[in-house]
Amino acid sequence: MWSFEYPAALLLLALIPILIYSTDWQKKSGARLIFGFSIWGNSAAESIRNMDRTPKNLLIFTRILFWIGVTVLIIAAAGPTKVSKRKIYLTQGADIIIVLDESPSMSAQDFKPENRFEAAKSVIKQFIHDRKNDKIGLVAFSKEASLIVPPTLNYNYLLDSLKNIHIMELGNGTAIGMGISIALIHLEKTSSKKKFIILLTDGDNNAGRILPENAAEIARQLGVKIYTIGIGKEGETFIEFTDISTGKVYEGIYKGKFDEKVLQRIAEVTGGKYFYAGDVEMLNTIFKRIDSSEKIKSITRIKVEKEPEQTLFIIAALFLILFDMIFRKTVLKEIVQ
Amino acid sequence: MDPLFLKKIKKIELIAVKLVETLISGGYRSVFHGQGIEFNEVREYMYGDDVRLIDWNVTSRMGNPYTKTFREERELILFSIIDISPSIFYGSGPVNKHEVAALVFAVLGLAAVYNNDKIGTVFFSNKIEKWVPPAKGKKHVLSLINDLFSFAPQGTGSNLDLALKTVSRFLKKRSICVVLSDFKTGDYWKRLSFLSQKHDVIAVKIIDDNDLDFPRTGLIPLQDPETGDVLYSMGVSEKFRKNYNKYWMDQHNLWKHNCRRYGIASLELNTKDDAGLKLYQFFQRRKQL
Repeated sequence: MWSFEYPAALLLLALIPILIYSTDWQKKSGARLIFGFSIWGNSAAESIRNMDRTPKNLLIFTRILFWIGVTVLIIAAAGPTKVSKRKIYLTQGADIIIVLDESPSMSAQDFKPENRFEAAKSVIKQFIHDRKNDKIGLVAFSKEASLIVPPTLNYNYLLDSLKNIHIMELGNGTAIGMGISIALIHLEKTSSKKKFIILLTDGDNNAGRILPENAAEIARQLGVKIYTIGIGKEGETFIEFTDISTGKVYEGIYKGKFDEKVLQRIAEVTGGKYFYAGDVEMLNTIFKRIDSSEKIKSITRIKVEKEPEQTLFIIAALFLILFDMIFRKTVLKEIVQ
Repeated sequence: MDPLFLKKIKKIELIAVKLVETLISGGYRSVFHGQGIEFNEVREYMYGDDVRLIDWNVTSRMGNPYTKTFREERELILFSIIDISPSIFYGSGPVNKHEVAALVFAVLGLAAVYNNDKIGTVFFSNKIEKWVPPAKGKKHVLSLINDLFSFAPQGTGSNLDLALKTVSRFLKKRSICVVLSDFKTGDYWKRLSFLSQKHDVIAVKIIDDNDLDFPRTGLIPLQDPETGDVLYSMGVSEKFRKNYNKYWMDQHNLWKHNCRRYGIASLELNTKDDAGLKLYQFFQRRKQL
């Protein structure tokens, strides 16, 4: 957005027509050489005025540039500033870590349009967009668990990283306890008063050295809520995915289910909530609900930043005015001003 | 009268005398085509007179032989039509066109005085600025010259047509009409040719170097003193100078062509020329015709 520091200077613009009139529109003024070049009362011959209009056009051209220069100069005098408004959060937001299952079963194609994993990714993306001023981190797990992004406000980086995680990067298996633990390690030291984990999985805990129940107990002690989401339809589904490290394409029929009880317990122990997502719409709703139940009242302030921009105007004006002067002196070789 | 003017007049008078000598020595008649001889009076016949010229009517009435005498038609009228429009006050050199016109008028006027001719004049711009019926005498001519040198015209155009119309209405007797102008005016040819049928017309065109060749100047807005038109001139532009030259060359050639066509004696006087010398040469040439 643009604004002017001294808008009163713009009133000078009103003088421009007067100045143009008095300097360049000298219909009857004296700034002309009296020289008989035309034939009085001659109806037959064409006026010499119509023979060569180039000099006049050149003059008009350079004068227009000059007056544009003057206009720009007045605008520069009015102090053009670029005003940008920024929201500044005075309160601290929540610390959130999304724990995402990336075991092969996540590639089950019961979630439209592609598979469970991609559906989860796009829902998470929307969730990140909806949150403001909350540090959000990302943990991925399958056989192993790994921190992808620590809780951060740099959402762009977060979204980039989310885009770049793939199925089976961390082996074949489901280490729910490990995923929660990794997330807890990174939530332990943070200063926020509100911390929670969103866990997304579609399978049983079958790997890792820490049981999900134990991890939940630690979370309770640390005051971290865990929202657990079990996804996937009951029954057999077709899976197909590419192992990103080998490039091999896996296909098959997957028949699996997740341990609802464990997920329920984790949520109960930590004061969170368990959700079942049978399709994309449900998943979407779940995230919406988590988002609204974890809304934090934040105090914000609008910070107005002003950036003076007259330098560019002054340079442009000088260029135009100097061009006019030099052009008239060198090309037109003007004598009278 | 200011001293500068007196000095000018003195010089002009010298030129005039010289010119008159030329004219008289060559016979006035041969330069200005008069009507011929006219009857003067009758007087008593003296021994040696041509018997053929005896007026028998008078002789029989008086009882003594009387003879007719003739004289040349001497009383010519020199009528000057002088352009006093704003454009005539221009000169790129020390002398402007108006001064050249005044000089020509002075020389012809004084020459006419020495020949005992009548001098009349009309000053015109877009109207008749001054009208002086023909009269004799050096005093008359000197006051006219003075008037011309110090005249401040009120009009802003140059209506030669109107001046010619007025003159041709007024002049009944065959006269010598001298048109002193820069001819930067239009639509006068009909009237001029009409005038030249009855009178002896000499068109003196006063030109300046800048009338044909535009000087190599930068961009200057020019304003025409007569029409008020504005022209953005640029002498450094080759194209502009070419256009300008062509335009005025065409106009000038047209003028010369028309003069020849209507049988009008024409003389071009440049502001840098010696007007006296040019006039002298002009009349020398005319004498030989």
